Amino acid sequence: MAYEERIARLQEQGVLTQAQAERLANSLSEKPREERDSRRPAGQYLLWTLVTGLLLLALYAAVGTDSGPPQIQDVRTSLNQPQEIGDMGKALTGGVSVALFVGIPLLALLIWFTWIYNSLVSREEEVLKAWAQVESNYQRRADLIPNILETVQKYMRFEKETLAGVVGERAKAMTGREPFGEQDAAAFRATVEEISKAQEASAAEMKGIVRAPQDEAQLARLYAAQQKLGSAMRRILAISENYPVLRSADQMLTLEAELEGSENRINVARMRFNEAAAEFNASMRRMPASLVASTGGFTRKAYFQADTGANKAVKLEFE
Amino acid sequence: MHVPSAAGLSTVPLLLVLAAAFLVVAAGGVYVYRPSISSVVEDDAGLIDPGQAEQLTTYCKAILDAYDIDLRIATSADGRDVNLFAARKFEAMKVGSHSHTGRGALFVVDPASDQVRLEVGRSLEGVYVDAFVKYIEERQMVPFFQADRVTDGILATIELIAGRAKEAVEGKAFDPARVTRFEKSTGAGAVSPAQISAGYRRPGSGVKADVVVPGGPLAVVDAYHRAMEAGNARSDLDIYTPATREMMARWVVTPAQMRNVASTYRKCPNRREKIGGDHAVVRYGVRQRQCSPYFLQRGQDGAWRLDLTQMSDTIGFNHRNEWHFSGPVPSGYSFAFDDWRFDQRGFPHPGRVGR
Repeated sequence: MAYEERIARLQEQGVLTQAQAERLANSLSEKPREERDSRRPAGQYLLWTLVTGLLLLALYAAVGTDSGPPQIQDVRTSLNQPQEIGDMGKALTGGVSVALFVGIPLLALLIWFTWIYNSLVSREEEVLKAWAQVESNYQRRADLIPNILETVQKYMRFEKETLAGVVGERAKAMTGREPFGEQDAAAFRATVEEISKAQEASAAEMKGIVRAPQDEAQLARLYAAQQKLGSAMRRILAISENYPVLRSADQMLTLEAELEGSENRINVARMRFNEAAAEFNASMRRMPASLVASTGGFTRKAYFQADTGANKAVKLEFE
Repeated sequence: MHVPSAAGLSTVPLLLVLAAAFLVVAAGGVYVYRPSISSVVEDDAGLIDPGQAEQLTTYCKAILDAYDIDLRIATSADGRDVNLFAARKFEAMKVGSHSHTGRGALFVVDPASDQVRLEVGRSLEGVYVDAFVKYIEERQMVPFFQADRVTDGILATIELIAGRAKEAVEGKAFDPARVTRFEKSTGAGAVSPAQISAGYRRPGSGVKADVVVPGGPLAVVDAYHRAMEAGNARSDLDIYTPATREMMARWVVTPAQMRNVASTYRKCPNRREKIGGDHAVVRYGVRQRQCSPYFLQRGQDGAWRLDLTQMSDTIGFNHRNEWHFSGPVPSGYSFAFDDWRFDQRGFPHPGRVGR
């Protein structure tokens, strides 16, 4: 079932307020960009530049030599006389020498520039790919929100209805706690509010990132919003600890494993993004690549600054 | 000075090159990939002895041959984040590179942090989803780890991996595309507390042995399946012979094994009981290779009981979970198989020629 339908149904059931439903629907619809504007390798441009340059040089070499009608050379006039520089050296010191002494270094320079530029493009592409993975894993976790809310509230409702038929003390004896109370409901509602706000804030930050993050502060805000979202989603699952039927439901166990898996994928994707960004930034700062980077418009990429314990997996057990 | 002729200079090296090329091509024609133990098992924590490493390598090779899945095992003495360690180790060991289709998975056991993780490669994510991995870790592997049997836990889990692979092949769930480049893992899989040497907790040990001998052999087998379905692994059930009870008390029985027994036999048709004196066999269709027969003995009280001891001594399973006799057909029960013949490996076939 599409997440829009789930959200609409959760709103009908009173699990989500209208504002929460709108926040979630808008933020979940912001899927990661499949295609990005990526920098085109310099090869094509530089190849045409090279070809044009070589043609011009060839033309110059041709024009610079004696372009008269071909004739048999009269060696008597061509041979150098004493104290005289004859015609034999003229063509070489003209166009061909320009081609040799200017064209070849220019060609070498262009090849070198192309090579450096393309290696920077490749490294930047790695950063973009790594960032796309981070985005898609954030999205993967966000897509679990409607499912988790629906499952938790369904079983909470079931327990409430089941236990409502059992008189107070007996119900408490059966479950070791008070039947579904207002306190649990309030905790559930507060966490839902937190999830919807964190998801909205996270989606807004993601929207502001073009290609790959370059602003450390923006990345830190996104990270904080995502941490808040993950923590709230885990708290919703923790509510299930109070409900034995919910705790043992296969659907719930699957959701828990999926959430745990999403968290780990996010950690791995973040690690790979940081590695790719570090490699790109280092290669961009090294001489002489830094000259090419500054003329090619390459900019430094931001890193995730993980807080302590950020990589710890969610502790979930099948009992 | 002697100057060799141009022909002399070129002919000898040319022949050598041609001979070398021939050897390479000929070797390529008969080459069969055999992963070395060191490429399959990396035991930095010293949990696995050489014999066990060889056993694991053999089993992993069988899975590679049957399902093109490249399974590896690594233990870590690191004690830090097992999830990130697994992702890096997957990359370092190039897990999946032994497979033509890039299918790979890596077991990581870290006794220092007491965690186990199965890292699943990209091309297997759709078949071994996180929830399944979590399930086989916690309900199959960890009970063996609790009993301090790490290698047995991994082997038992590989059996479930093979079972799922078989289903995936039948349901065409695998991506058959060849993968020519190594792919890093994305962090798929699951992590669980390993609980190594924490003490095995027998499932259902709190439940009273309420499964009593209800009647004939078929009824006893039904009672056994009900016990398995209910997760009752007590060794003192009345449906077991005294020898079976002793053996069961030493066995590690996992929730996944019990669920597997219950779900497998639910799909086993053509059930039939054969009685010969105080012995009985409940067997299934000869082509139902996953439905092994049950052996029963009649006690002095006249009640039929399951003889799991004899079954465990004589019946084995291959990596496809197909049963076969690992030796001669046990004499006390051979009467029940006189209309079947057994091949050299002990697999049953219809026909009367005895083994």
